[in-house]
Order: sequence, then structure tokens, then C-alpha cells
Amino acid sequence: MHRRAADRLSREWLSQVSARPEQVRVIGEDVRARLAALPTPLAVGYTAADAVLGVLPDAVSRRVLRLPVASEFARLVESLTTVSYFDEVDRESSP
Amino acid sequence: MRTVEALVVGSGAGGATTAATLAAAGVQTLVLEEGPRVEPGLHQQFSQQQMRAQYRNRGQSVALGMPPISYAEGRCVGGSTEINSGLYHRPRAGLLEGWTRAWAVQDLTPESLDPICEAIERNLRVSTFPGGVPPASDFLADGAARLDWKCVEVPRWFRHDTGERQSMSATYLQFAQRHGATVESEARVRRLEVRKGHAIAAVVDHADGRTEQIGFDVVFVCGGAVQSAALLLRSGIRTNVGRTLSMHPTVKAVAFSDLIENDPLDVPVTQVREFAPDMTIGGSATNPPLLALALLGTQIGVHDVPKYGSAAAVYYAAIRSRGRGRVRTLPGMRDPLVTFKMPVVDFRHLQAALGRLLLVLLAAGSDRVVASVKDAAQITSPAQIPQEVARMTRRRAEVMTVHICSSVPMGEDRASCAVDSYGASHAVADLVVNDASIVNGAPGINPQGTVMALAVRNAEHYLISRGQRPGSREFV
Repeated sequence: MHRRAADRLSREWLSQVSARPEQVRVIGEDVRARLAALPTPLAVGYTAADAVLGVLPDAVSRRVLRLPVASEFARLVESLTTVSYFDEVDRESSP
Repeated sequence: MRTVEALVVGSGAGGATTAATLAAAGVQTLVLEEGPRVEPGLHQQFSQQQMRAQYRNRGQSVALGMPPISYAEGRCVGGSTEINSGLYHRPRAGLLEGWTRAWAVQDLTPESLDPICEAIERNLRVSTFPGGVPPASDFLADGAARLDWKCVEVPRWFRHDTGERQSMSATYLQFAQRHGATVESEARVRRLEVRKGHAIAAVVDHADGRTEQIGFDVVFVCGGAVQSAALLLRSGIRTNVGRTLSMHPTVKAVAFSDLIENDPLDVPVTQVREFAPDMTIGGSATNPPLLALALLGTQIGVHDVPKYGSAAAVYYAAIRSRGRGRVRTLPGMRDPLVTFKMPVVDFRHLQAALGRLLLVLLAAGSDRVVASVKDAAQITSPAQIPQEVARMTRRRAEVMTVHICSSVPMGEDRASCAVDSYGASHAVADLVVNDASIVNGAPGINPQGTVMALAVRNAEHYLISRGQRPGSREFV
């Protein structure tokens, strides 16, 4: 179990695209930075959700993340991970 | 305490033109910009590096609601003009007439704005492509032609002789500085001080940790529709502020075809105007991260994004919303909370817009298209469109916008407007709001031409009302 739900969601998404360990590390840091950069009211709300979901057992957390409001958190983390991953891939492939 | 004659808060389309107009008339002008100064061209256009450096909240701002609507704002010297596509429209006559009727805005006609628009267009070198539009633009125009829909090339701020895009930092701010204005970056105005009904000073936080008060004779608030409303609210100026936010909710779809030849550093410049001003179809920036974002959650997924190359591009359909949003400031929070309520009629309109978007992309010769909607399937025939449109529920929709306006409505009706017909506050003297906040409703076009024209008009009105003569509008 990871301490933060965002980390877990991000790693799960990255495993689906077979990201390398170094990419997982860099993108994990970037996703955390992106969450912190959200407008303050959202950043506060998502940080709290991240911490609460992170201490729940994985199975429970997964179930909670399917609920309407919590699913927005999962959707956001997936979006941020996607953008970060393809930015990383794009940068790696740039001359 | 430092004092200036005119303080301009914000350096985007409204702030830069305001500063240039005041400085050209000899007014001692200080422009404060919250974001950094970034050399044009330092970051690749629409890249994540650019979003980190020049966008507010890294381009991840959201208006909460069902659906939530993501939006982006510039936060750098020059504001959003440094990061957007630079598409330019003059304010529409129907729009101005509507404001005159609904909000009792005085002396606002196309005839009064035309000379200002002409000067702006010369200063920014507003023009169309000299040798025909790029393929991704042509692709949309072809689809529209096959459906017999009106489609136009939208002019934009671009120097075709040198290949340089224009922006406020490359034009109006330089003009203002040549006339003695000062532009300070990384300076955030926390609040305005109001005494005996007059705005008198700004409390400014600098990036190096210093806080100072700057006194002024007049302040022009030009931080954009969200930030200007938030600054007024933080300053205790609340009447009719932040309650009438308007925007163009936008849905997207991805088209796949070798005909597209997408340029990741540019956006298509053609727009379907058949259904304008209530609905517009155009092209979005498409690079791998943005393409992946558009495909995320769809049935085709993102695995093959690196393989698509220039044969895939994101297009959009935007509507003029009847809904209104709010900007609220919360204790202890640096950023405001933005919400937007989309009425049922808007959502139906958005679904219709998605249907038309898919139709024109298929007509253009797409091998396949996919709506940027959760669980959307790729389609190859118009017969499949109704099923994809029906799939877009409020919960599945991915809605965004780039045009936010109307948070500080302008007009003579004090019951509904926060500022008068020239942007001057009804509640506080020596305070003028002069940016997208005073654009009284989603205009159905890129609003920056309207914002600049109004800003010049209002700054000139301020000068004339004080017995000063406006200087030259042109500097090219």
C-alpha cells in the first residue's frame, strides 16, 4: 500500500503503458507538483482526499474511487499522469 | 510609499492596451504583473514547459460544476496573449447592440470602435496566411465545404514576413515603455485600499518576499475575468462582482487522416461559422500530451499516441452559454473558487455541437473520428453519430473553455452592473475595470479583439474626462 492514493493511481496507470522505473519516479514527482499547483481550493480538497484515500486498504480505496465525487479525483490523477507521461516520452524522443 | 499617477494591474490584452493608451498621453504609468517575464519563443508553444512557466496553475484551472469545466489563463508579462493562438475578431455589431439593450451600455457602436480596431489591427499586424492556410486548417474547411457550411479563415496576430507571432510583450507593452511606463513582473496585488469611497493604494506582494503599498491617482484593474473579480472581492468591493461569469463551453474530438498534416506548434486557423455566434467549430493545439488527454478514457485509449504523428489532430466545438458562473474568494485561500452552472438547454446545445463536429470531421475525409468523451468509440460513418452524442452525459463529458468573461458587468444599470459604460466602478471612485471582466456575455468569438478595443476606448474616455488629450493609437 502506498501512502498516497495519487501515487498508487499514477503507478497503476503507468504500468499499463509499461513505463520504465525512472519514468515512474519522474512522473510521480511531476504529478505531485501538478496537484500542488491546482487552484488553492481544489489543491486543498484533493490533498485531503489523497491522504484519506491513501490510508484506506487498497480494496476499499478502489471501491470508494468509483463513487461520483471520489471518481473525479481518480480522473484528475489519470489526466495529470497521462499529460506528464506523454510529455516525458515526447521530450525523450526530441533531438 | 511609492506613488504613481496610474496603476495598471495585469499586463494582458486589457492591461497592455490600457497602459499604452495612458502612457502615450503622458500619464505616469506603472504596470504590475503577477507572473514572470518570459522571453517570447523561449518555450515551445503549447508545451508543458510553457504551461509551467507562463500559465496560471500550470494550465489546470477548473470551474466546478456538473460537468466541471477546465480552463487556462496566462500568468506572465503579456498575459494570455503570450500563450494563445492569437486569433482575432472585431467585436460583432449584434453583440454591442445586445449590451446596449440589456445592460444599458452607452455610446457603444461598431462605428465608435472601428477606428480603434483599425489601429489595433495595424499595431498587431492582424492578417491571414499569404499563401493559403496549412493542411490542418484546410481539412476543416474541406469538410465544411462538402456540407455547404460557411467556414472562414480567422485572421490572427502574426508577422508573416518574419514568422513571429505577436503578443502584448512584443507590441503594446513595448510601446507603453517607450512612452515612460514601467512594467514590473512577479508583483501580485493582494488588495486595493479604499478610503472614503476612493481607491487610493494597492498592497503588493513581491516574489522576493517584500510587501509594499503603492499609492495612485487611479487604478485600472486588468487581471482577466477571474483574477479581476477576485481582487475586487478581496478588496471588499462586492456589489455585482463575480456573479455573472460567462464562457464558451467546448467539447473536442480527434480526427485521424493523412490529409491533416498536423503542426504541433500551431493551431488551425479556419472556423466553421455556419451556426455562429451560438456555435463555432475550429481546431485546437495538438501535440502528444494534448492528443493523449483528448483520447484518455475513450475506447481507443492512448497507447498508440506516439504512432499517430501528424495524421491525428484535435478539433473543437464551442457554444455560447446561457449559464452563469461565480467567482468567490475564500478565507486563507490564495486562489478564488470558480463555479459554473450549465443549464439543461446548454448541455443539449453542447451535444448538438459535438454531433456537428463529428459530422464535419467525417465529411472532411477522416478515416475515423472519436469524441473526447469517456467511453467514446471511434466512428467512421455519420450514422454512428447519434450514438456517440447520446454517450456524452454530464458525467462522461470532458468540457473545457479558453474564453472566460463577464465577471464585472458594464453598464448604467446599477442594479445589475458593477461598472459604468466605460469600466469605472459604480461603488468606488478612481477604479476602472478594463479587461474581459466587462465583456458582458460570451461573445461567440475569441474575445481578445473586443477586450482590446474596449480597453483603449475606456482609457481614452478616462483621459478625456480629466481634460487630457489621448496620444497616438498607432505605433507601427
